[in-house]
Amino acid sequence: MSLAFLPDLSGLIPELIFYGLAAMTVLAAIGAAVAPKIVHAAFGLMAAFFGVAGLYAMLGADFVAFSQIIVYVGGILVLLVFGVLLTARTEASLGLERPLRRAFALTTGAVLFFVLAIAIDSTTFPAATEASEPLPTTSAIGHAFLDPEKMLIPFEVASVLLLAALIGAAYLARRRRSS
Amino acid sequence: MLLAAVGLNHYLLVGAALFCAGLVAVMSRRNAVAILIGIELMLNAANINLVAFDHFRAQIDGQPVIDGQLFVLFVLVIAAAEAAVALALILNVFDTRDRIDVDELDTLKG
Amino acid sequence: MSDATLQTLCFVVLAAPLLGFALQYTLGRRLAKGGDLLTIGAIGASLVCSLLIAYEALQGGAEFTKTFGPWTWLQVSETSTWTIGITLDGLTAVMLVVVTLVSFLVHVFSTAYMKGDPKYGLFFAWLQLFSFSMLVLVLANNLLHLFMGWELVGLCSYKLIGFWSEKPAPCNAARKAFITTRIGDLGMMLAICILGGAVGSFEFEAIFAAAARGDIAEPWLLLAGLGLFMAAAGKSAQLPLHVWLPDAMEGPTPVSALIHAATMVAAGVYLIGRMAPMLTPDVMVVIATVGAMTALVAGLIAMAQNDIKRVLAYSTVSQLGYMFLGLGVGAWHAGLFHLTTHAFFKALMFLGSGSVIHGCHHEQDMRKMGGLRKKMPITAWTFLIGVLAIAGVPWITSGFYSKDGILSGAYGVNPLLFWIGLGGAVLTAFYMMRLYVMTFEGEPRDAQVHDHAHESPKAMTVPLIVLAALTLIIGPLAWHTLMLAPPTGVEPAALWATLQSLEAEHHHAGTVMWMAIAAGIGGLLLGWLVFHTRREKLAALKAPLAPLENAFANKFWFDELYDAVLIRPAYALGRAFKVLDERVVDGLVNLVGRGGVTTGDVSGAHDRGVVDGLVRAIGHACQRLGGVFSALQSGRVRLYLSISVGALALALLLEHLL
Repeated sequence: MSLAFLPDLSGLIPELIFYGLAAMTVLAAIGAAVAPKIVHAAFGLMAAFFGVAGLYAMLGADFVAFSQIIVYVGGILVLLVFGVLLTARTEASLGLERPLRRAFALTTGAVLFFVLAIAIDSTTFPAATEASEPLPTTSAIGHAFLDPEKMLIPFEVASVLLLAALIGAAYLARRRRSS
Repeated sequence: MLLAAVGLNHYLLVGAALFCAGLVAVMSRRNAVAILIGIELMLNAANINLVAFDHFRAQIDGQPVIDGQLFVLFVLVIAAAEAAVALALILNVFDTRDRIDVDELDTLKG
Repeated sequence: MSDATLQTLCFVVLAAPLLGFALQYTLGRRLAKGGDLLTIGAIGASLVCSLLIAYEALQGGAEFTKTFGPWTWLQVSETSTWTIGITLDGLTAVMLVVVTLVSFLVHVFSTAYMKGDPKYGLFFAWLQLFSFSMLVLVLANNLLHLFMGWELVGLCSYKLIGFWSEKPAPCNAARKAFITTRIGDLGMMLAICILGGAVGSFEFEAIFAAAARGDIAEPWLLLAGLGLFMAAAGKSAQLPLHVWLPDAMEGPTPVSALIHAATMVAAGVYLIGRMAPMLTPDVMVVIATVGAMTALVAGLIAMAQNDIKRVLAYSTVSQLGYMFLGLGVGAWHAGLFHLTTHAFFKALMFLGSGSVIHGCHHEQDMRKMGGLRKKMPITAWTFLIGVLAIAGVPWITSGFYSKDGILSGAYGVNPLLFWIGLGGAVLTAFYMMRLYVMTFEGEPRDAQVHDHAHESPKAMTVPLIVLAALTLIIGPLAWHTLMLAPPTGVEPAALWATLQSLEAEHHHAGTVMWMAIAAGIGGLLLGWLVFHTRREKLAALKAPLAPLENAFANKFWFDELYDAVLIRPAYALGRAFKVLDERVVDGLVNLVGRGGVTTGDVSGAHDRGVVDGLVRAIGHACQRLGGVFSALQSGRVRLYLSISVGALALALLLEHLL
């Protein structure tokens, strides 16, 4: 059996992947924003994170894509789910939205997106005459982080910040002795 | 044609959509964890823009451009720190009040 | 068969269990019979493809080597890429068949063993993921790819040991297993970093070539070799990292058979066998010594255990020691052949013990068994075949061929290693006969257990029969036709290479073989005499041997040693820091606080008189003004945000429209 009657889409595979990823990311993000159950919102967020990681990979930012998965999905999301599980004891703590406020938020969001879309659409960015393969950047990132001329100081400061956040979070989250 | 070649604009649009979704979550939710989810979405939107600009700069220059990606990595670090502290705060509030509705946290009201 | 076909077969081998895991994990509960047929089908497909690959490898003979890939998954820089890829050679083909075949039989066995378990479907899902991970490990053509499989099997082992997570013992055992092997994995990461840095590639071929050319400095090569062996020792439970394996017996018995006898624990042996061309003679000496010591020590401990599965666990540790001994003395073939034969007969015995435990309603204490042969004949006879094989009964059992090869290799290299190995062989035969006699022969010791015992259903006995048949035929069949080619490229070391050829000449001839036969049969006879025929004399022997038995029964106090040397100091350190925190840090903070309060008191007196009057007047005025805005100042940050965002959106919209 021949499949010749189907249009040849092989040249469009990158585009198809992009649109698939973009649709998944945006739909998941909207789900995360409006899902009535907080657990569903967390899973929507996870799908959005994966989609964003896919977009990074399409942009040739391999290292950032992996970091995205490791830090966001592996770290922050797990933390969030912990937060959900630890605080979802009672129905009252769900915090269901009031319809009016929700409508207001949705309208504002839609208007803002509309305006931003027009702004983006009407701007012409300089573009390369022909698209080339993305260049590998992981090694360059590694060198930049450890080069005193470039990013070494911010890098170290970031680690101090993380330490401070770690200690602060541990201090805040410990249970007070009932007194 | 529907499937036009993917350019910078497309990525920026995805970023804008993600940002607005996050904003809606922050504005409409009362659960503190859900607000945190919205903030993470907005940070991701910014990151998409940074990486996209990087990529298309590199296409023009013909050599790797990593400034935006470095920023993204720093944003990741900040986001991790922020999520940790925020969740510690949320747990604390939950311990004392048994709920995490941010509308009730108005002790500072003038 | 064309290369493309082979590549497709490899993909099917990998994809079938992965797909099986995905489907089973998500839909397992909704499928008929908990989805066991789906997973058996998936691993069956994998098995068929593995057999086809093995057939092709057999046709290709010793020269058979194929590489598919590499496929890039991370481009680090212009020159350095991280890849995955597949290697097919004799060793891989053998491992593929072992893994898929044992896994298939364990799947079938589990349908009966796990029947009625509330997490029945989930169990099969994890078995599938484990099979996939193990196949990833085996098919890898570079260290990084292998490491992924290596960690994945560790994860599955953790999940499956702790499968009955509602009980505390399995959870503790799972954690112990994970952490102990993780200590070894540190060595693996070290080796990966060293080799990747020195060679610029993780691929085996590139590493071997660089080692042969002398591109890697000698100390680094030594360190990398030791790191790899450290990882292997953790995974394969060698001294001193063997403590996790006996505890891992808390997991379901089919898991013990698949992961902790046949496949995962053999991954360390596979790693050393695979990396043999880059190991320096010093590393080989370490490997051989540790292997021999483990074989002996674990054998001694096994003699005094009463839990049927723990005896088998220590026996596994001991047999893995033999494999390392074989690899360390350069008997490469024999070591890896022992891996293969051991996989079959140890899986046979573990499944046999599972059948016993099932038949005795989850009784694992051998002291309550006895006389079970009449109740469960198939289990008993197949188990006996396993016992004969591990003891190395000549010519008919596979254990004879592989163990004899290892001992011959050791004999040619170092008499001390040989005698240790031979002593271990006697012990092996002895404690295995003890296990068999205590379980299946003699008078029943516990009437209640005995009365309720029954033969297991077909789903359990058929895998036992298949494994028993394999145990018998694989030795004679495979020893001469086995397609394992010794690693090309670098010879392990010139010294060992000459000894290897010596070993080949001596094979199956001369004193070593007869000594090995004598050790095996002697141990078996001794065990039969002591535990069956002369039971009453045993009591008289017991008193003088009590201190020894105590040492064996307490596993040479390894756990206690680690508790005293590592765990307690760690807790003590934690407590010390806590005290430091409470006394010193809090004290300082309080001091600073008190100083602040005193200063405040002094200035407060001043404030009340002079400043307050003025402030009150201003404050009063401000309060009036503030009242106006306080309606907006609700303290609800989200309301502020909504207002400002709404205003922004409105402004932008107007700007656009106008």
